[in-house]
Amino acid sequence: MAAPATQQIKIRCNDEKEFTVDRDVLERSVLIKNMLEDVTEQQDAPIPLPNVSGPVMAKVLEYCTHHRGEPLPSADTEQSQDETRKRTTDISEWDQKFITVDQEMLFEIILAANYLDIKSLLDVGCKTVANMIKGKTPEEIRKLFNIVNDFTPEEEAQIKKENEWAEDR
Amino acid sequence: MSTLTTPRLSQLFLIDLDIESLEKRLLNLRADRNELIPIGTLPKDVLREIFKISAKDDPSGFRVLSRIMRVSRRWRRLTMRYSEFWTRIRGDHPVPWIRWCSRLSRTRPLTIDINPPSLSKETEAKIGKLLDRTIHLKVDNSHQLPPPLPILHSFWSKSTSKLALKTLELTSCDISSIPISRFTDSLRTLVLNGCVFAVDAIQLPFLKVLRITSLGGDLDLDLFLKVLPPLQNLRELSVDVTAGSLDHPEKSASTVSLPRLSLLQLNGFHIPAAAHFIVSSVVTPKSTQLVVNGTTIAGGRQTFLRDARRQDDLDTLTILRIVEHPASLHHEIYAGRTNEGVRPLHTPLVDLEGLIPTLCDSRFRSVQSFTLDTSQTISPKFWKAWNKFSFNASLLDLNLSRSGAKSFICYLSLLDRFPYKYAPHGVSSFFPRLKTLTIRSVDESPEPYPSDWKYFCAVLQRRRDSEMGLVKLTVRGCVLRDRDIVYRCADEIAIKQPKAWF
Repeated sequence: MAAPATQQIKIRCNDEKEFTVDRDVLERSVLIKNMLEDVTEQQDAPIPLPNVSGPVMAKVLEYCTHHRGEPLPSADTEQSQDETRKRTTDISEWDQKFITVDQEMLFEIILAANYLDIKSLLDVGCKTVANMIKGKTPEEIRKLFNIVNDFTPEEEAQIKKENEWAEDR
Repeated sequence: MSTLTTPRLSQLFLIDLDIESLEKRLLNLRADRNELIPIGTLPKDVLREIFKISAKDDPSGFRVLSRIMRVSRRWRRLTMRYSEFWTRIRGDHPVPWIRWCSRLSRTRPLTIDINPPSLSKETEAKIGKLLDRTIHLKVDNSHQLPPPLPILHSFWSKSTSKLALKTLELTSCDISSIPISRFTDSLRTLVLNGCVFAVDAIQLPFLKVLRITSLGGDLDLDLFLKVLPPLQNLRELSVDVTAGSLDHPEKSASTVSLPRLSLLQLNGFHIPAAAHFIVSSVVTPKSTQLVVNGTTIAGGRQTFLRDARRQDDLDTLTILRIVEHPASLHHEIYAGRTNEGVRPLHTPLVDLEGLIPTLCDSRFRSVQSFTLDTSQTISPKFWKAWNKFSFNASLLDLNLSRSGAKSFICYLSLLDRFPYKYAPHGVSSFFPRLKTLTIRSVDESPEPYPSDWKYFCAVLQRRRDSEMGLVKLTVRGCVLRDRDIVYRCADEIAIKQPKAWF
């Protein structure tokens, strides 16, 4: 049976890149879904997304297309989802492949998911970063994310003390 | 007296000022730099969520978070200002950490986990001061005989109006020394693990969840059923007497009505008719789940199943293991760690003969989830009977284990409108509302043939084309040869291949 034709929506990213996407794919984003619900008449002008660049949006759309049709988390299920998220850091195989990108893109995707309000994508991104942090010392975490030590000498002394009781157990 | 002259002193002072300002500037530059790196662009709520997930499964309960706090000033500030991170305290946490928890959790309700033998005096004193704010208390006394610690005594003796405790989990505690009735107004969940069951202590009309596991002594079923009537708000009753014993009366007791019960779970009963005794005695008009796990019901099987059928509002029916004789009851023993795909040495037996009439009963029409976990070869009678199961039309979630060579293809035939011509009994139930399917290989089940996989994909594709596609498909313990085909079968696919077979 052929799938019924869905409405096509245009979006414009901050680098002027435009995408024409099926409405149900875009509605994975709560932000866009609310925008579309607010518009009563069909409009041809693209929806501006000033906080997302074209390459990042392409990745986000890849995710939304793959997960189209899945039930969106409702307010009722949010708490139980939260519980599930807390319980496990497992990521499905497809999502894992999808999120295997360089660090810059990973954090861009997380930012975009946060801005567009795509909870499941934000979840995948957060779990990925959490898995990167697990089992590493502070120095290893700094090295991984290119963070520099910005503690004051007093704080450093305090941290040294903490090291003693936190690590020697 | 200083030998420095005034101009030199002022020069030194100016240089010190310069150093201080440069050091400050350097720190600010480092902080600014940290904001420009990719991870620095994340807003604080997202970063906190990442920290929360990282710390979640930390076995020490504090180490991951303590490391996160030592990465940068921003990370330290974010963790220290988020009171929720500091609400879980364990008896084996370092004292400085407990001190932080006490301060940084501010006024938030706490969860405290005490394993008394490992508690130092200092820890005990610190935790003692926090019990007023505790809503979830776990006391594991498995290494020490009663009486409980002084801090608990002082806690128990407080007036009920000051106690906020909502959940109490006791392991190997002498429950008779704990005045549980003091928590009448607040307590909602009571878990007794390996405790001698003191019936007088249960006077909790607002209790919603009662779980009794690994009974420390005998459970007098008649007495147990007399305890239940006041618990009119009970939503979940779970009884597991794996490590205990049962003393049940010869004749049936009067029925107990628990109008709000939604889950009745009976685990590990070794005594014939004991599970039957509870099922037949507890009347649960709003019951939605009946879970019977590891229950030996020799001698009482037919009666048990008849009584189970009385629960006509069930949403979920999970009968994992019902065995004919106590000698056949195996715990699942895994070779090595319980990794996915490692084959259990003993696998459950299901009393399929007894199950068929139960499942065919028309009253089970609202069951939405069905689990069949067996290593037994499923008889032709069972396959044929499946079409008559009353819940086929309502089923949303199906969890199946496969063992024999033909079971895979038989399951597929059930899902297909047009049963496979080579399926041994050519049956079809179709399950029009099915959304999630899990197939798990147990025992020495042979791998499905390539043609079986092909059929598998064709069936699921046909369902998708008919707008009855699966939302989630999980296949465990099978070597999957052509992943690309399978990935087109459902919206979400999880495939766990065996890591090792013994």
